[in-house]
Amino acid sequence: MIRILAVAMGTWFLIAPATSFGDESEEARLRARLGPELATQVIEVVRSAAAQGLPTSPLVARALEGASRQASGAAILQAVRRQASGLVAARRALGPNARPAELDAGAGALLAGVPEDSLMSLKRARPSGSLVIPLIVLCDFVARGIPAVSASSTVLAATRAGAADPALLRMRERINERILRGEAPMGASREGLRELLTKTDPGTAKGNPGREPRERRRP
Amino acid sequence: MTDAELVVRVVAGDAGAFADLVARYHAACLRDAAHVLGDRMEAEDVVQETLLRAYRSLGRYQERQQFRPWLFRILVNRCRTAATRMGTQRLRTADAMNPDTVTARDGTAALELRSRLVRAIAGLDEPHREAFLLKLGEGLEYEEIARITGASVSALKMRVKRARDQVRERWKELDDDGTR
Amino acid sequence: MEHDDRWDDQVRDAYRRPIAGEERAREQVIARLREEPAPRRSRWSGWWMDPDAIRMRPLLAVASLIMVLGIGAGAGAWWAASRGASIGSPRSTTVVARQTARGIGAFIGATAVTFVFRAPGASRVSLVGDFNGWNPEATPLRRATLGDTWIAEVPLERGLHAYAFVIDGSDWAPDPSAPLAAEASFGRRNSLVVVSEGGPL
Repeated sequence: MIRILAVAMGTWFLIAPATSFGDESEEARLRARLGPELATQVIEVVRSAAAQGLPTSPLVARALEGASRQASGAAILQAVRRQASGLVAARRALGPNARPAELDAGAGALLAGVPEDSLMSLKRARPSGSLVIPLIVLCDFVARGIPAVSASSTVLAATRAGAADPALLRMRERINERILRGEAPMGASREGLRELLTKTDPGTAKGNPGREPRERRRP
Repeated sequence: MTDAELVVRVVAGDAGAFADLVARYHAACLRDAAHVLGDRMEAEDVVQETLLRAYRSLGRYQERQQFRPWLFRILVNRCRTAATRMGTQRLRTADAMNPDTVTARDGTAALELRSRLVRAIAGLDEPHREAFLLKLGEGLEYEEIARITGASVSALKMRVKRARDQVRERWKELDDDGTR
Repeated sequence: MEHDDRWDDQVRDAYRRPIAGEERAREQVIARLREEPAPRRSRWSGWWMDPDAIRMRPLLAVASLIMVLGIGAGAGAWWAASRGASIGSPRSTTVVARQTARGIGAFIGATAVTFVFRAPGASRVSLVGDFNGWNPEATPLRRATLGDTWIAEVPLERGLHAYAFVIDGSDWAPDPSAPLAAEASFGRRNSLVVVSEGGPL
């Protein structure tokens, strides 16, 4: 331990940066906007996420948002920690190759009550194309009152049917219109899915450009 | 430009320089993973994961290390994980290598060679297969293979020798059988 | 041992035959890498970071332990998401300027995103989001020729961004036509925009 400390201190002064580092700028922004104690705590979460190879910008953004909304320090720290744990869970569900945007959206879905299994199923439905749009659509459904499990099966069914991202977004818009017109969210989503499925031809529709979907053995 | 110079450029902000490293090493990674795992599609996934990890870890890479063994070490670990995940089954059939679509310079002969190699090494356990492919396939020096696999040079020499004997026997069997 | 050498050559040749689809797989890897934040050198590159010396798991455990004990700022490997260029950005972006539903929302053009918001009776509207630190002063919208419509063009990086509008400095509102974030953060819902290569909202 002493040796580590000695090497650590020594190495730091040797590596004193001549160029600016990304991590420094994020940390500087946090220190500028949050009180010193809160900044330190938030930075700890951010560093731990980075050490696990998780994207840090959603965490920083969450903290800065809290500061702008004048939320309490406790609320900000809790939100950042929650988001971090969401990212960890999203990585678990979506796999090590998941894109930062997928992790971000996936974390949001999981924190809102979507089961991890649903994300895993979504990954199996579209193993190599980006899942950002399906996850965004899923988040939107949950936000508008469609129960999480039901929202998941809607998005999953559409994705399995081979619906590409533009079709998923159109489905989202149409379901949203129905809800705004006063339809019950679940009924609206059922109808929206039905509309999509009757238009999607499983023989020709493919997911996002990429490899053809195939069975994966991953859990 | 050397690998180390490219890495320096990536870390300095020229992320496009990593594309050059990918261009240099993707094929080698893919053929190693494909032969170790016996499955071309799995190998593609493993190689993508390897290069992603390497990209994310570049901040940790030090110039005094050589890039290739550093990268291959990640690859070998990913392959080991994949092999475990794929189960104890060692051999995917040679068809998994899709011999029909292999670019062959001299037609059928090349296809047979490929299938034969995959089947010939199928009987090896992973440490032997790793060592054999890195030595006879990639042509790396034992010191480098040692850094990649974590095994000692002497252990590796033993493994390669045993593997060569076994593979050559199997190779001859396959030839005599006339099976592809 | 001529026979042996010849056999070794056969093995090596068999091994090195090009693998079908290698080029395509390589393109996919590069495309995937474009979506990663660019790596930065970690502040610490001590001996314990050398993967030759230590295997990964104990490495992270040591790093975490050091962080927990608070020894040395930055003991452990990390980097923050970069604001800089990612692989291949932006060389040729084929622009697909697409309108979202009902003409209100975000147009995607190259990497500049146009935000449009209708706020009757407002005297000022600004945009807050992940990309400007949620700072209500950072990105004011300007009035479009239609009195009620406010507009701003913002360069956004690839990826997912949360955002909202602030009306007259105090009233925070999401974008009515954009997808919503799943959870209310700090009590209010945000909107989401995704920037991909000429992709839609």
